[in-house]
Amino acid sequence: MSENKVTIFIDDVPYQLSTDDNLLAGVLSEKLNLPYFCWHPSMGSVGACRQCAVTQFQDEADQRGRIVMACITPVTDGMRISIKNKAASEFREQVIAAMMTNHPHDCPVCAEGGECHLQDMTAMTGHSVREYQGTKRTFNNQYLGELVGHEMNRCITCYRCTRFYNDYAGGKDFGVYGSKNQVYFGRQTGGALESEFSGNLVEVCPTGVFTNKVFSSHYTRKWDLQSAPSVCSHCSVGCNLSIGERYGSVRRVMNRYNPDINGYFLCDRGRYGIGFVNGEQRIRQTNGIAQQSPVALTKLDVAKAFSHFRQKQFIGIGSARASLEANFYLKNIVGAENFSPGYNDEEMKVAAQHTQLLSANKPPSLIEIEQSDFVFIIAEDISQTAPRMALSVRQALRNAANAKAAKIGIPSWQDSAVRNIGGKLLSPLFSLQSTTTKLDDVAEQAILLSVTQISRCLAVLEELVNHGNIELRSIENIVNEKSLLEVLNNLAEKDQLTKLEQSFIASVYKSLRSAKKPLFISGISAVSAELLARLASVMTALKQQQEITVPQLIIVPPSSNSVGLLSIVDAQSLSIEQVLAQLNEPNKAYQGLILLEQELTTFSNTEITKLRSLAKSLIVLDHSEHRLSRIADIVLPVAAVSEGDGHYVNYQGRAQKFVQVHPPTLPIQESWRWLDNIADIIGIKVVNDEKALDEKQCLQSVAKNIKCQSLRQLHQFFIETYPQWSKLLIESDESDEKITARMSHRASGRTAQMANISVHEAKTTQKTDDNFSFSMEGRSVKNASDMPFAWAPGWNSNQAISQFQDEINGQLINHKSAVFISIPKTITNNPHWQLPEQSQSSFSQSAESGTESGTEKITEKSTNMPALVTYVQQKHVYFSDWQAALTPEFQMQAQSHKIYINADIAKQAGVQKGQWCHVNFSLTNKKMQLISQSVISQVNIVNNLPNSLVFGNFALCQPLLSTVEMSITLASEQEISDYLVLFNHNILQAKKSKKAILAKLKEQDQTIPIRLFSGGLNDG
Amino acid sequence: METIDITTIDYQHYLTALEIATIEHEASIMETREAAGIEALKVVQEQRGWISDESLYAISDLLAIPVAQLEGVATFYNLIYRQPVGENVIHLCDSIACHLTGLDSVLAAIKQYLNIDYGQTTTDGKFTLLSNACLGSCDKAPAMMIGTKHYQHLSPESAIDILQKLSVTGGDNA
Repeated sequence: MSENKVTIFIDDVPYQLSTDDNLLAGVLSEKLNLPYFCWHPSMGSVGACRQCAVTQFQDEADQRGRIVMACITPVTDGMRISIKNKAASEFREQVIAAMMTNHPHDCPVCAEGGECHLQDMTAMTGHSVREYQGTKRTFNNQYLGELVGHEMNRCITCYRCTRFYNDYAGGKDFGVYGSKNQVYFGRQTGGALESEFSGNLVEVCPTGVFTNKVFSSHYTRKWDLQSAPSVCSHCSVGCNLSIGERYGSVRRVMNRYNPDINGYFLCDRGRYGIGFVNGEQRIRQTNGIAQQSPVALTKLDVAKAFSHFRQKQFIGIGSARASLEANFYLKNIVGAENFSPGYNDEEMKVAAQHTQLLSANKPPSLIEIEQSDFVFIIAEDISQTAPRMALSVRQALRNAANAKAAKIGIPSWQDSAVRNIGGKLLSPLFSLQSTTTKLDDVAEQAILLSVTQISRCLAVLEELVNHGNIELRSIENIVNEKSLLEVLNNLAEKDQLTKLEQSFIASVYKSLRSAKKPLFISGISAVSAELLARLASVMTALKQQQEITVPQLIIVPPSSNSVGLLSIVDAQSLSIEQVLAQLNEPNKAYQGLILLEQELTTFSNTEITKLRSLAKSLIVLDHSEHRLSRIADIVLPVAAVSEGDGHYVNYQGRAQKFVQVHPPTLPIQESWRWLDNIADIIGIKVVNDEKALDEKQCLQSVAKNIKCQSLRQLHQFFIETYPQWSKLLIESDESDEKITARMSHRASGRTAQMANISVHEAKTTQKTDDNFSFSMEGRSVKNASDMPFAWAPGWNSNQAISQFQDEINGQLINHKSAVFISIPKTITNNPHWQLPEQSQSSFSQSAESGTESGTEKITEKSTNMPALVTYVQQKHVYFSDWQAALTPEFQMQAQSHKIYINADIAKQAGVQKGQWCHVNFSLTNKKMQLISQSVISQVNIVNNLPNSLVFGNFALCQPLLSTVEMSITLASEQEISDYLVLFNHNILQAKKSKKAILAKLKEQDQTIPIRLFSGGLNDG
Repeated sequence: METIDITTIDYQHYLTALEIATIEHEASIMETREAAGIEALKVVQEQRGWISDESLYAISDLLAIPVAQLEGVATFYNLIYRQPVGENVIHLCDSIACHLTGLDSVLAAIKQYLNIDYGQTTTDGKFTLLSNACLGSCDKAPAMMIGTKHYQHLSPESAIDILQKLSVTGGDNA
């Protein structure tokens, strides 16, 4: 990574260290042991804890030297230091001794015990005798919500928590209180932490002040965990996780270092959203299959249950949360013309646009985002839909301060110095959204508009890029605000942009012109193909001129495998509307539907009923219950992300393998295994008439081809069918031939693992689909390209990762280069999903399609109630992902309904901030009320919100997500209390659910499921 | 204990016009608004004797500083009181020089005379006794500070004498 290497002498041994980082980072890069607390590889140095002391010598003759703190000492050519030197090592021991005077030594009851950085560092300094006899200061702890536990007495005052929470992640509700020996870290008063990144405190804290509350409630030591390298299944960023399991239940998620993506941090959805795996909604048994033996479901049972579907045609609906393998398999069983990604018509159009944007613009990784000096976010609240990406955007905004500091010779790792000199200086962030977001506080300008208005702004930006250059160059003064606005005014006139929108676009344009590494981020939350098409035109315009650096572009899809699904959608793929139409077609004679991990969130109950009545048979494969699983004829329980192997493709097209952490309890199996069990029965119906001479023969040959015992065979089949996949799949299967242990060397002795049942050593489950063993046998984690966990001698915490990086913040020693899949653009060949040609110049009325129709006509003149508005639902880090939202700890922190309106609407309705209101949304057509929905919610007032736009944190049914009439009246006492009773009831239910899950898991701990092979049904 | 809903404290309803004007003046001469936090705390404490939770929330609302950050400032400085205090706050120096020159007997005398311990306020609300890390009067130890005044070379007798006088005159807070 770094080329500026110089020779320095550490205890008279020469080393080559980089001058780009500090001495501590250099020492750790050489895998030498030097203790530290306040320094963090991603957050830099402040020199607060005085732990990384080394002796620095003037020259070779200098025998005495002086003590310096390695973390705030730059690396210089020829410098001589000593780590082993007596003065420095005694100093370090005494620093620990002083910290320990207040530490309670409660390791046996501390969740951090066994993977505690403080324990490691104490042992490293050799401080092994407790000499302090006095009393220790004690604190009251705070309730910090359901995710993070608080035990302030353990604090050693390293300030890492506040540096992460406030400085790095931009949190507002956390602080440092008091002084001297009485320093307290926490909230001003107790309450749930508001940051989406609160869970990182658990890893950032070097000891047990902040602990993972969910893990603590069903605790096990790190050395008893069985872990595997996994990938987050809750958004499209694809953060790398290490999931830990014991006795058949998932215990926790820890960060798994990947320098290109998540680095050292995760968001709370990723860390805690895994709760669904142990949840009460889990489907654990089949439904609709008669089981012959009381002991186990067999393949024969399944074959019998499916026998009457032989040679019947099904439509298969895949999903963006199912693995690439499962989606592929489904498409192959039902045939391309019978496959649907579960998107509606508009979403198909969005998918077509998304595909084109992806192939024309390679999206940057998170580490590349952090290099940006200009960020423009359009209609996607990434702080909630891809929180880890928002954290990277926050770091990018610090580049202005880094540059200012660099000018006077302060390196960026000098954290407090850079923050001091930077002050409030930030690189420009522009935010064009329909709801307020958590990045607004660091935005240079953030305005709120409806999606249609946002598209219109983009159209004007495009024109400015196309024509502005010429006109502005002739004026020869881009910096002149007045001339820029004049040009803009001319361009914007026909689009009727408000002054605010004009000045926003002017600022974006001006700022963009001076940016060297600009970045645009948008997404598909708004489900607007028009928006993406506009964005594509802006990008094309930008590429056609030389004045501006072409920005990088990211489109954020919602799910872990959205882009993977996109890669197998083709011109024949069906939209949900088409699926319904096809089922209704009498001459098609479909037997029914196979739903692969697909809950059809956007469907109304009426549509679900319609779907059910049209499908003769409904087969659902899923891990948790939903509306469709309850009405299905056959339900097959499938493995959650921790229970199977497969690939997810992130927003960039980066394919990443997630590895099975533990075998699921049968009959739960991976989706592709279920599909494999039924493939030869329902099989593919051959469509090509020329070749379909003998249908039966064809069916058999396909089935024979497809039949797979292991994931490797399945991959082999894919490689034959889709050659472009070979690289990815062969690499993931074969690069690591050797077996790596899922358990650490220090896992409690194998006979002790199940001593409560038997002291006889049980046979370990044999692996089938990956190169990790379900035991502690195998080569060291160090040699694997995907490390199941981080552990090194003397380094028991996750901070052991520095021992496995080629240098601090560098790649892992054995890393595999990332595999990016190419997205075929065949979906765009289907004329259904193409947008009408955009008129060259202005925003045309015809372009306003779908849900946004009619918004144009709503001007800010509509003063009489009910107002015509567009409602936008805010995204939420816990609840915007269906799987994560099943986690009881999230449900316990649900927020009551809130609606955000502007002051005008509030005034007309006679309501004030904080008041409870009865909000009615209705869609009328020719004076007939078609549909309406009433919501009790609390009013919030947002300035600069257009009259035609409101947003809130509750869901409205699909048809109401267009322009609707809204009326607001004060809610009656009765209505409020009824609502609150229901709200509190839901919270209480979540609490009960959490309790019930825990009780069940603890009981389950006593009967460990042992499987000899992790190979599906009949595996013995 | 009654919990306070932070969002409902509006500075305009809680702070006086004088307080708001003074704080706004301080904010106007600072580089950033949040830099006026410490001055704002002093202004409100001068008017009200101490900083209540409500005062803290009102200042945070006025200056648009997160309340956690303002609390950090308020609790860092020992001359900002986050609990009600008496008319006179005795900051008795607790450093090594004072310990060497008879702090123990002075402290004992004060405690006995006022019938309170560190951190407590007399029942008549006249005195609060606090320890202070170092008043910088090591050459004139033992020392204490009451209001804006320093008292040095204390003995048990002289300390009580000072307190007696203050309880009559009321000190500089009266």
